[in-house]
Amino acid sequence: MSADVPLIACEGLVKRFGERQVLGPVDLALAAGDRLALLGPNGAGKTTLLSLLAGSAEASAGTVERPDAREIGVVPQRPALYRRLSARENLELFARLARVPEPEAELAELAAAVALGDALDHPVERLSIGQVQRVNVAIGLLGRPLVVLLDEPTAALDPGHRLALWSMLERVSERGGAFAFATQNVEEARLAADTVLVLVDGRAAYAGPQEAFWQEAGAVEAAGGHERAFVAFVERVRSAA
Amino acid sequence: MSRFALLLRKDLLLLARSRPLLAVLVVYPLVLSLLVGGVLGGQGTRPRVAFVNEDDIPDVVHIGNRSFDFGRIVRQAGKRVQLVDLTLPRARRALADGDVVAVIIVPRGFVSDLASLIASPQVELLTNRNAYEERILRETQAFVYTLNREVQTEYIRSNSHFLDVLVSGGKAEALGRSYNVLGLDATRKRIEQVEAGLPPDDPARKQLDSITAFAGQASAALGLAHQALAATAHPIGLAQHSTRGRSYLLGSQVQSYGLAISLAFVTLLLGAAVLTLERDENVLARLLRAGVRPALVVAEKVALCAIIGCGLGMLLALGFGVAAEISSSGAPWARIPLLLVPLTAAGAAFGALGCVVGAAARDLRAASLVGVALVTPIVLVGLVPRQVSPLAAGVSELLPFTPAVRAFGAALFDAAPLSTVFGGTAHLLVLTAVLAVASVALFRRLQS
Repeated sequence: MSADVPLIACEGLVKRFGERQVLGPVDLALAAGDRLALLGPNGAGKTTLLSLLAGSAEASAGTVERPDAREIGVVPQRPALYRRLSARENLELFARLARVPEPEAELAELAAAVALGDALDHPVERLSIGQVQRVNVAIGLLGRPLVVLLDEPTAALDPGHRLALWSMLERVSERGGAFAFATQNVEEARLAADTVLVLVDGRAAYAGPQEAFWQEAGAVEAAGGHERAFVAFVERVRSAA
Repeated sequence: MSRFALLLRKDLLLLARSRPLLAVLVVYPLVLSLLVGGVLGGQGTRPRVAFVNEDDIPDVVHIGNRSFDFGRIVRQAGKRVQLVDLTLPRARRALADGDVVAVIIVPRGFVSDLASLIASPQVELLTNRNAYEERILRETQAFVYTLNREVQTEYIRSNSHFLDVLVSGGKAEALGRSYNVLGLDATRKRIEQVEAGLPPDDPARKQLDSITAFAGQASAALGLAHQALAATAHPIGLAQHSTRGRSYLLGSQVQSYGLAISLAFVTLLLGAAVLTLERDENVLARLLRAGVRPALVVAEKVALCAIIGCGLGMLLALGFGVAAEISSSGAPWARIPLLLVPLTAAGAAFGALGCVVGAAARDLRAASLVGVALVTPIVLVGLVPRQVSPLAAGVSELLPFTPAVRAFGAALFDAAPLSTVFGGTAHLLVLTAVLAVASVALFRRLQS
């Protein structure tokens, strides 16, 4: 997708569960500064693709070129935190487990980024959904990974929390990294991504610059225009199949 | 700090913050100690034993010219067991229903057999398999022993009197008949009188001299026989003194089983819960990405269970000790440090078994249910004596409960405990290793 040297790439990636093929084949490459949105309806294979890219699951076919595991940050959709530990304790624990080179400095940076104030020392179970999700993302950013993969990171977040979260992710691309996130929210994809990969029933229906996609989908600048265009695009793909 | 230490510290912190769990870990040993205290305090409770007096023996029995206080002997036995006078049919029914733990029968003809000196009368004991079986047998043996001793003393006195009569002459009774006995001393005097009337050169004088000499020797020998008779009747005497020492039966068994059951429940469930919690918190993938291997996760959980098991076990042992002191059973304080080793190993073994459950379970609730369901048969199988079911005993050797009980019992009470304690500990550590490997394999399979 990018002309630069990819930080992470896959070719002919396929995932099957038994006889059933749930994904692929998918080709993908993320280079420095890339911001990719994985768009698709429920069950399209977005989470599966992220798992394969992260190395959390084995592909049935195809290849993935990825950097060292420490250079990949993963943010699952459901927060992966110890609820009885505070946000700070969670950050410290995962930083030390991952052998982050300068944990103190990075923890200070991430603590500022999550902007929890005093709540940083409250047990996670007492934080709001938005605060928890910011901590969840912050842990994914520990060690300053080159590639960050996020699975619907803003689901259930209000607009304020969403903006705070995207500003955290902006720093990844600013320092020469790349991130990819799965979402069903068309407006969010437009806001946070440069390129999109549209998955429909496991197959890549579009991969390329975002503007070109909306042109192809026939979106118009009107209220809900892009969302309607996306739904129509998905239906056209399914009809053609 | 190593990853292992980081995870261990994290889990201890989580445990400390889980107030209900912490409360259980504190309250559980206290409650169990009170229960054990109750058991130890109740070990003096007298079991009910039916007493069937088929010969209608009165309190005082007359045999020959002697009297025996039969009632006193029965009352003595009644201090240690609760004797209930019943007819034989009712006693048999009571034994079958479990109302009594044994039946002591004094059969018809008991006193006449005793008086005849021809047949030994028998006291019969009926019992079933129960916890008091050994104790009742001992009490009955003591009852028969006391009776024998009383009778024996009277017989010795009677026989001793007969020896006196043989020497000095007088009235004697034997086999229910009365005899007038001349006696060796009178025999000798009469021979001497007869000899005095004979001419000096009478040939019969020499024969009479030899008879007189025999009577003198026999008289002297029978005089010594008094002491010999008493000494051979009681070659060894028993002097009993009650002290506040430990009571083996309930003291050791109750404490060992109490410790093993507690550790089985707490550490097995803890192992299952803490491993499942990683899945419930959705952090497993994150841990793996941070370089934490599944084997390290399982090893850390096993270590956590070993620490908690050791701590809980020591609290329980101290609680049991206090309970034992209060109940006057005596506490094995000096042995408690020796418990540290098997307690830690048992905590690890049960924790590893819990990790197998935790690796297989989908969530915390399922893990808890499976854990509780698993602990019960493990404990039950471990409680079956080898004599009752060798198969169950063999199976229980493959589980941590039985080696744990053995090691705890040895640590608390064996005279030379080290081989059993360290043997049991080695057994537990082998089980820990096998179960931990199984847990890691299951964990990996379910993760992939």
